Amino acid sequence: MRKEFLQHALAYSILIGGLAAIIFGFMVVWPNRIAERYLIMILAAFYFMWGVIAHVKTEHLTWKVVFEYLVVSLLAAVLLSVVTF
Amino acid sequence: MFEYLKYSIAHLLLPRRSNNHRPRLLHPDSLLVLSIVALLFFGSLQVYEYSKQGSDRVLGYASNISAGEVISLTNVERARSGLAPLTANSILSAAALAKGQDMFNKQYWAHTAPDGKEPWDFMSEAGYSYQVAGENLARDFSTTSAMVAAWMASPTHRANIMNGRYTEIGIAVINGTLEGVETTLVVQMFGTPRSSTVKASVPTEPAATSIAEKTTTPKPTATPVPSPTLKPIISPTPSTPLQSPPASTIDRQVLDDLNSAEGFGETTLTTQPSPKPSVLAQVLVPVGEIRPQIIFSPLHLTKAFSLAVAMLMLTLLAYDLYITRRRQTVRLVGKNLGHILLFLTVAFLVIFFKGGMVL
Repeated sequence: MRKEFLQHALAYSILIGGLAAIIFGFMVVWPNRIAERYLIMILAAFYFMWGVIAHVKTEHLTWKVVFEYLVVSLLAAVLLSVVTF
Repeated sequence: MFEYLKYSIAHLLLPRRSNNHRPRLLHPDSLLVLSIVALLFFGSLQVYEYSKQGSDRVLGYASNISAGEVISLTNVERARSGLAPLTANSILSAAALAKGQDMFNKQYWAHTAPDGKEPWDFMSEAGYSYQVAGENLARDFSTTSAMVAAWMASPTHRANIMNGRYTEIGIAVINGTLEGVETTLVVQMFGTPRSSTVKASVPTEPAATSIAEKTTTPKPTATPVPSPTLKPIISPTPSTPLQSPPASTIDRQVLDDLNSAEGFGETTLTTQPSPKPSVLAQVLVPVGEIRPQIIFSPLHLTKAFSLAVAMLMLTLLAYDLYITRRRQTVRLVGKNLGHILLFLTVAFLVIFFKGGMVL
């Protein structure tokens, strides 16, 4: 895991920074449910874009990988969204 | 049979040749199915909430909110900004109670009723004559401190709490069924009386999402303010009437006996006629009582479900990452470490998600 992180330090740093910013945003906008749902959409879009771009950089991008990032982002968004209703 | 079950579980959860060296549950199509299952679970919960209107209801929000504590915490917040404490007014509390009952009866969650009735109308009907007035609403909170914290985190509600023009407040803490779920509504109305002789003194509570100012001269009668004379200073949140009807049950109405609240000093009822004191007396019941039929909170159920799925994903991804490293498996798939970080974020947000809504 450490090796994987060090191999793609920039990519993972961006990911961790983005996720931390969204967590912080979640705390800041509470108790505004609408803003929280916007943040969930931003989280899903951010992760999808991150995954695609990270694989473009390593030249390992396939449609299957794109689909994987899409559904992983969707699942994360669904799991968070159901809590906010 | 047992062998088939064993094979299926291994196929779903463990990287092996049969699943192309990645647990089947981590395949994109399985993740899509999992997303659909999560949505179906949530949909079923919603349908269940709306279908169970009888006494066998098991979903709801238990609460131990007390009006006295709300008043106390509100005044603590005001004191931090150097503002004078609010005093509780039994007439305002009667108006707040009427508003809460109206929300349960007509099944809406808004400052303005579906029939256009404004908070000021409830104040007027209760006989409260004011110079400025406001209202804050909250629901689904389990504790007073969490509810007041939510109000303080919301700029508009905070503005009401910290409004130095208010001198009095009324509170209603009401249990009932809203959107198919047993819950506790808290209605807070506050204002400044037109006549300084009209008050019952007890410190007050937070929040309003709107403020109205009366510009006409006061009427000598006990009944309140004509609505056309109200000028909104802060516009209330737009009304959002609920789709589902059945209100039927206000199981219990909880209102602190402001006249006997501990720690808030003596209550002095002076000249202004208090229009409906008997109504108040009829609805006094112990605060914080939890209806026994409520077993699960919808929020806790959805949180448990989301957390379980997130933890399952984390476990599978971590194990898959470990095995592929160990076996030096080469695959063209998404980055497990990225997925792990994402689901850790999801788990964190779900665990620390705070319930309750303010309006």
